[in-house]
Amino acid sequence: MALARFVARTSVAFAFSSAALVAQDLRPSALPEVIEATCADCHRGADAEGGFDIGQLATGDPTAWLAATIHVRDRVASREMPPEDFGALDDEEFAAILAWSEARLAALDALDLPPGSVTVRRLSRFEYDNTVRDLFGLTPEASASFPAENLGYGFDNVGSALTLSTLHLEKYLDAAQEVAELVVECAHDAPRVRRIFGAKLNPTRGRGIPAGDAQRLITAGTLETWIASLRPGRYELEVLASGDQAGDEPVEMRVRTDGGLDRTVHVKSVRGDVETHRFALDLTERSLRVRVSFLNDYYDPKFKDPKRRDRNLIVEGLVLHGPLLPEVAVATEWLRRADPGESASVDVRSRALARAVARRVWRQRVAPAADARRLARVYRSAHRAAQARDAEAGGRAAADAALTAMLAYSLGSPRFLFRIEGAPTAGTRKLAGEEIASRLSYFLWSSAPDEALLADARELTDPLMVRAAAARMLEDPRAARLATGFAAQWLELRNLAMLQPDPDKFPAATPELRAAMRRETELVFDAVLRERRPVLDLVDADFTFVNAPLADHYGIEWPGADARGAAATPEGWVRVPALRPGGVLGHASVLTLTSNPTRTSPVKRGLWILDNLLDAPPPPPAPGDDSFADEAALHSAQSMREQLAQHRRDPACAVCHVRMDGLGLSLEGFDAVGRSRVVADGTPIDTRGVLPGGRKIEGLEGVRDALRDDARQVVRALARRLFVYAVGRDTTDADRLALERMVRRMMEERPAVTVRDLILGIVELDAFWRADPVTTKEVR
Amino acid sequence: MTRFAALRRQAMSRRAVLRGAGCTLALPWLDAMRVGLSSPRPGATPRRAVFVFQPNGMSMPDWIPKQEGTRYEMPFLLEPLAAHRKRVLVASGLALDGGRAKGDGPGDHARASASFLTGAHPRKTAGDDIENGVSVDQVAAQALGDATPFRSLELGMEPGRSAGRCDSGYSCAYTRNISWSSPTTPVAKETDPRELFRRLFGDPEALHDAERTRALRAQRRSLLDAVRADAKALSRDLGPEDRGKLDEYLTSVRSVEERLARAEASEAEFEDGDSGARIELPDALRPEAGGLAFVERLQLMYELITLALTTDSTRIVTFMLGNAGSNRTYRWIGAPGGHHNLSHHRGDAHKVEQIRKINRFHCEQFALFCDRLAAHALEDGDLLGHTMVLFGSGLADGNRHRHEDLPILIAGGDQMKRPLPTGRHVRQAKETPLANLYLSMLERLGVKADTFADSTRKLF
Repeated sequence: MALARFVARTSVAFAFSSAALVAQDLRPSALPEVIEATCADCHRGADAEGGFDIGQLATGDPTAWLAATIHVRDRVASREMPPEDFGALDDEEFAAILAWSEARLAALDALDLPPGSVTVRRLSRFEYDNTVRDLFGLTPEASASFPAENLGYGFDNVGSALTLSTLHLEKYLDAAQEVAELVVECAHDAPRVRRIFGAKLNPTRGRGIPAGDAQRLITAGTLETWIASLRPGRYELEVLASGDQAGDEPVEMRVRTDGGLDRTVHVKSVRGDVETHRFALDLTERSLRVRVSFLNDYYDPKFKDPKRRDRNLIVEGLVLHGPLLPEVAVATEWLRRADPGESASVDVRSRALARAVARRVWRQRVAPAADARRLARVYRSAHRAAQARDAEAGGRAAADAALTAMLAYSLGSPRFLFRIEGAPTAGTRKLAGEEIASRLSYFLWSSAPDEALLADARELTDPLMVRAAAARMLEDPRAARLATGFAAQWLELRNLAMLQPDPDKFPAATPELRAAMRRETELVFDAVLRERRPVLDLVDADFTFVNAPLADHYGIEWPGADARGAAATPEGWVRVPALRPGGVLGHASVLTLTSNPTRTSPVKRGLWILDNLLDAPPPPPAPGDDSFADEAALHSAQSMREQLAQHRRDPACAVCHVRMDGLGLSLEGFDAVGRSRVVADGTPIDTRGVLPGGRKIEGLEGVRDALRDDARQVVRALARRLFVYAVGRDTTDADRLALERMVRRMMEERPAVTVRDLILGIVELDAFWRADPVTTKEVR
Repeated sequence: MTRFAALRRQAMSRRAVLRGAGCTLALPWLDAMRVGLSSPRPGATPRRAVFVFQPNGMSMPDWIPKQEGTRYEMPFLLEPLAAHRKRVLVASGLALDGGRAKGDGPGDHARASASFLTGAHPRKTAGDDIENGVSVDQVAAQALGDATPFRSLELGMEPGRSAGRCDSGYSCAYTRNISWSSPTTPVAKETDPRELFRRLFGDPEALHDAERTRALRAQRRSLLDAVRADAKALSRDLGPEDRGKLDEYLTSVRSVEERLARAEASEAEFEDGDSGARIELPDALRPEAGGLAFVERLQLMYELITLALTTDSTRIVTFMLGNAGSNRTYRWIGAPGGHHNLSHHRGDAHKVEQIRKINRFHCEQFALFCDRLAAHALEDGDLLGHTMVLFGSGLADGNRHRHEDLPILIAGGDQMKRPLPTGRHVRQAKETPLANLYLSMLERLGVKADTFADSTRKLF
């Protein structure tokens, strides 16, 4: 062994001193001694540990040794290998292996590997909602009842995982019909009106006496009703009331709805002379409970004026207008512009509208004649049917029915629901401009291309043009969906909604607060993207955002409450200097979603960092090994540390836990919902951790510094995830090589690679703008 | 003149009136609601099956009776079923070989759910080339489904996580679906009881109104015609893998069409008579019930399953009480830890106790479901007697991820022709495939099948 080491070292010195020679020596058969000496004991032959055989580094198949080289580099770089009980590498050996792998990967640049294939992608719920919102101005709720997506590789837009079953289709058709009807209704600027007569309200308290269509409350009490089948959005509620006035004060009426409206008003009019009280509502649910209460009952038979002895509230009725959707009129400008109007023949009108719908809803720059014909045919036959049904129906009613049918069809069609990229070809081909436009818009906006992008689509045929278009698109407000779509999945923020922190221990962690946690991180991601900040800022930003509940949670004074109050956005968020070091690592979001319901989990936190920020997740534990013996004892943070230490004494566990635990334990200064703590259950918190290779870190700063020192890997990790999200499939070897190349080039140019750089780099990659050859995989 | 009187005189379209009516539940639309499909059609009593999946295994010492045969003592978890004892078959010793790693490494939870009704070994993938087997409920649905508006219903309690990975390199398709209509197509499940009610019994706004119902159907039909033509045209232009996706779409189009046709057919049958059953909206589903707690939602789902069966809307149902590896907390019964975390108790008494509580809770709820089915009388017995209700988990001991000696029982079906040997605890030889039991169930359902998945023979 000593000799082997010696040999290894000399070879290292050689490799180090003359990189050029090493580069020449990348022939598959030549493995440097340091690899042999370090890896061969365990990783050689058919029964190699972990299924990794260094023989793979030396095969004739470049794709195999490409993957193996990346494997070696990543395992060594993360100090996962060699395992501790084997003996650590010294700095020289470590550097040599990294240098050798990097050189080898660089030499593979010329390698032309086949790109992977993308399956046609069904729109995810997120994409569906955004597309409907952008096309029609409808707020994104259409997908609320759709089944949850099957995630693939951590994302909801991976084509092969997006299966479709009957339940999906039913919901799609329902939504298509609903959206089409709303669009056509709103086009006439006539929001739905629902009227409920007072007599139909249910008295839940006090005595209500129907009086014709109205209802009179003769004692203090409450009338209530439920209005179902609503669509979230803005509403106006009118309460029509009058009073039997008595005593010294007017009738007091309180109007409440769930979702926050609670107003008390005076009803001054006398019976028969109805007054209308209007309230604006923002509805987030699909139903609405309205309660109208009479507060100040009064009865004095001796009052001097006999007409003013008995005070009652008379509720004539409720009128609910809405949803008020002025956005629809704005968003559907494209549809109105395409409409030649009522003076045109049905035939002409159907064809003009069909072209527009194909272009925008089906994302076809120029609709194939057959497609436009199909749309027009649906329009005409619905028009005929409407007229046949009701001969008196005016031209407009029939036109509405026809447009509704055509839109419903366009939205139910696979041409809308799937992102389809042209006909298959035998070899790799460049995507057509409109296909690129669609890829770009779904990557950056999670939505369909808009008119401007479609207009430019013909030019989107080379990487530079694609890059330029992407750069423009990133300036658009819709690019914020990279934060809510990509980042919220990459960092697992979307899971916050379904977490169940123990309400006894963490009463503050309400759904609202958890939504705010998620938003904070999204806003930081969005700012890092828009302000062209380095990737590393995600874990090292000097700013963050808070709203009032979150400020409270962090224990700081709400900064938006000052007299000027100008800092707060309309949504109630304020940008503030970072409250903690470590960017998103110190966000309540990340700290909460990596905790168990009752306690923190250093292991989950460590795993989260390795998986998402370093793209180097350790393998899952063997069955039965993924928990601790004594849950009760774990409530003490100190004993958790001990248990983890115990766990690491088993070499089989240590190999992974040594990587997770050090990171996770350093974050113990934050509880399971992300609040700072120095003591837990009477024990002072210890935030020290040891990383593989023996590096000692402490606290959030320590984790941040470790990541900062591993900047290249953080950049690579983000690049790979962005790629999966952009292209909708896992990375192949070819993709990994391309990404390696891209990141290396970027870091050479400027070490502080930005999130924006990565996005623009990815849209330039072959895989993004070329279609892949048809795979001949068997499909059942 | 009051403003309201003026309002009232405004012309309101018929549609708006209906909308107004349908939207305010103050009006008794649901009480008056009539569903054409009601008691089963004349002839043989329909045969039915329900499959209930519980994630994270079971506390086995509390499940497996010590004795075999009819005179076994009911352990803690089976106690709630005491009232139905004679109608329950506890089938021990069954195994899901497909759930085992077979060199694929960790991911037992995903494999447990994926194999539960398919008996297959799912292909390990986080996204590409998802492949499992066809599930037993779907085999039955294909054979029996023609008779009812819904060939089958797939239901669950949890939509599933919306970011990250589901289980150790397995796609979420495996952890959140137990029904598979083809090896590559998981059947998505409904998790919202309100949506389920709407799906079963239609658009509330159209209930009063046969004309409108017809119009809606006609509208849906022409929409289906149009999109099918589209899908077919598209499909011609695509490569094989993409065509597979379009096939899923076309299959779904066909199935919605069939459903429309079957709904119409069953209504026609009842057109003259007044034999339509009255459907009551469960109180908890009325919007005034507000947000629903887990227990309420669970009971509602069971109630709606009962309703779906009594109205003969379907004869095959699958129900996931949680997705594989669910980490739901059950605080109200004294189990504040996450279910999955707790299942890896390693013998820790504090955790075991919580797991027992969770398991017991679900057994109790299941027993209540059996009560509901038994309370529904049929001409020749009751609904439970004509429904085989399977309850169990794809893992035995969640702590150790065992795929053999599974906790499986079948309640009901005891009034069917040649019923399963209920009223006893039967222990099979080790490694008897669970698929053998499925084969027996298929036979009782009248489905011709010589084998299913890894079955070796019929069990009973």
